[in-house]
Amino acid sequence: MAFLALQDVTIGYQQHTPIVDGLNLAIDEGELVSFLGPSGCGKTTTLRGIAGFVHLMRGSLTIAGSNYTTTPANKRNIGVVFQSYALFPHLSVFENVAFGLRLRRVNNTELRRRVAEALDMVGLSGFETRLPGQLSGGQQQRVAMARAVVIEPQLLLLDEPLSNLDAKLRIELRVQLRRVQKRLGVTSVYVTHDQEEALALSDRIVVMNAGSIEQLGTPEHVYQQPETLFVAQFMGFANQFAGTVVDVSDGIAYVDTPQGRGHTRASRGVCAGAEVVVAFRPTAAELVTAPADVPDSTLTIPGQILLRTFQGEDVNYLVKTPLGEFDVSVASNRTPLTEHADVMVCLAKERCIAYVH
Amino acid sequence: MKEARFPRVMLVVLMVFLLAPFLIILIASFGDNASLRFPPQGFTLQWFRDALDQRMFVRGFYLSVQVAVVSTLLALLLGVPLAYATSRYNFTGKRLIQVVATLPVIVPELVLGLALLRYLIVATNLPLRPSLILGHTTLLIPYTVRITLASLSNLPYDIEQAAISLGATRLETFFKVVLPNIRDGVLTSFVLAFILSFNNVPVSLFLTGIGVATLPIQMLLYMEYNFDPSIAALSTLLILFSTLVVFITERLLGISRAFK
Repeated sequence: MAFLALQDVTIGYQQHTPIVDGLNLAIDEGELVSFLGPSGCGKTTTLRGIAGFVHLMRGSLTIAGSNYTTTPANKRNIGVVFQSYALFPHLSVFENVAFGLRLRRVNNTELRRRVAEALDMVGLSGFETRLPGQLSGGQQQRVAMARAVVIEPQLLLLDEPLSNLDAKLRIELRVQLRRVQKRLGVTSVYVTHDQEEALALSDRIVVMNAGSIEQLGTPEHVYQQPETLFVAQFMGFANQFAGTVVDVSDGIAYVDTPQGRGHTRASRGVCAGAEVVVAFRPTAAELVTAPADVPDSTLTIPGQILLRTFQGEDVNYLVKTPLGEFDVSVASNRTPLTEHADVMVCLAKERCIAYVH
Repeated sequence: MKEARFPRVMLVVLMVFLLAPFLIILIASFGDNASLRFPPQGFTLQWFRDALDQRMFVRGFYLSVQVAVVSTLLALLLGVPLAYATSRYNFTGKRLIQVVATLPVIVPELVLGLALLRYLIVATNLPLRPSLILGHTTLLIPYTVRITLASLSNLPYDIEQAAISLGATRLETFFKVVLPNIRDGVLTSFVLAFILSFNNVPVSLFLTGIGVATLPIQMLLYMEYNFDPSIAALSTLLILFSTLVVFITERLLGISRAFK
């Protein structure tokens, strides 16, 4: 029995135009599940639906076996962390964290102990008397985190909590956040549009698009085996070209292109005769200059380097080919290639996936 | 330093425009002439004593304070929830409500006063004092609504949702989170509304009568027949009173933050 279950959940702000349409999802106790998708995909709306900030137009919401579909937001005992931190500007750090406990009429001794514990957990002991305005963004979000977990919520919802912070802090804070979440074992839903963040944090990822779920799986699964072209694009399959499937066997699709035939992994629904889009990551191709160096690849496409971008660990080449422009990433310790050089793009076996167009 | 000259000139012109009328009245109120004139001759405090001796002025003052306090409180009691509702909830006609609540600022006050006279006092036989209070409340609501709306727009809704998720009811959220954060706006509208009501003439003109007249109306009536410096003395006292109201509120409640 799932801890959090959404059944046929439909949410919209206007009649007849649902933002989330018929969503089904089951999350286990203690899990951290990310909702990943571009803005407008319905991930935040779903979160708000779980929090009770918006009504469900249809469907039901179950937490720990109880039906919460129509429970008011203030009776759900769900901790929420917002992108904007949403601390109470007029209250000190201590009072911010104590807010939920005071509403629960927790006695003073226990209140002090629990606030201190929560602040200690996020590394902000000693900041009790400060006002939110006197804290940095990262500190404010840690207070918000403490405030959300101190009430011992049955569920923790995080709405892009790190989006307003700079890159370095984001990574630091997400590690801390994950540690707190694991230590408390609180079931959590994490909304983000950052695939790296979702991959690093989650037990499972829900990739959303246009109000419904595109794919649900572990980070490894979603990263290695994107089931739809949308998920593939979101997971860094930056390159794609069109082709026609000649045959499919054992999950391998044989695809004809104007540059010859290659075989790729077949996604669901790919069958002989289908028009497909083949997608691959910048790291899935090699660039060679001499025909003798061509490895045992599935497909070799001639091209010319348009642009070279040094990125430290690797070098990115933008290559123009008859099948389109490809972004190819090569380790930077390899012999550098010059712009305008003629090259061959060799696609690695098993690292291209064909999707029904 | 040449470019700094223009702003400085503007500043002086502005100060003269703003302060000159006050200074003239202030100085004239100490003049030893039987009629109001500037520049005055001599120096006397007699006009202040005269002004304070007028029973009509003293009674007018008490009535004005009473009307200003009650109607300001009423305007806040109606205006703050109205502003909150229209800024936080979506419902049909909320724009209309916001426009209607602002209407008294657009309609000439004389028209408002006349309308209230004809359809409130004459039609329902309502006594003058409650009529005055109702009239002033109508007049003040746009200010309390507008200023509260402005403060609310600085308070992200996420903050209220955070309170709700922590277990607060709507009402608890309003009193524990919203109100403390829009306090400055509410206080600003209190002071502004109080002074607007206290000094109002056009609406009060129609809603006063025998024995019931606010101080500005009493002064108007007095000036129709008398033109001695006691009216200037009284004005000086009123300026002092208004300044005191602002000053005390600022001292007690730290309102200066609201004017930032």
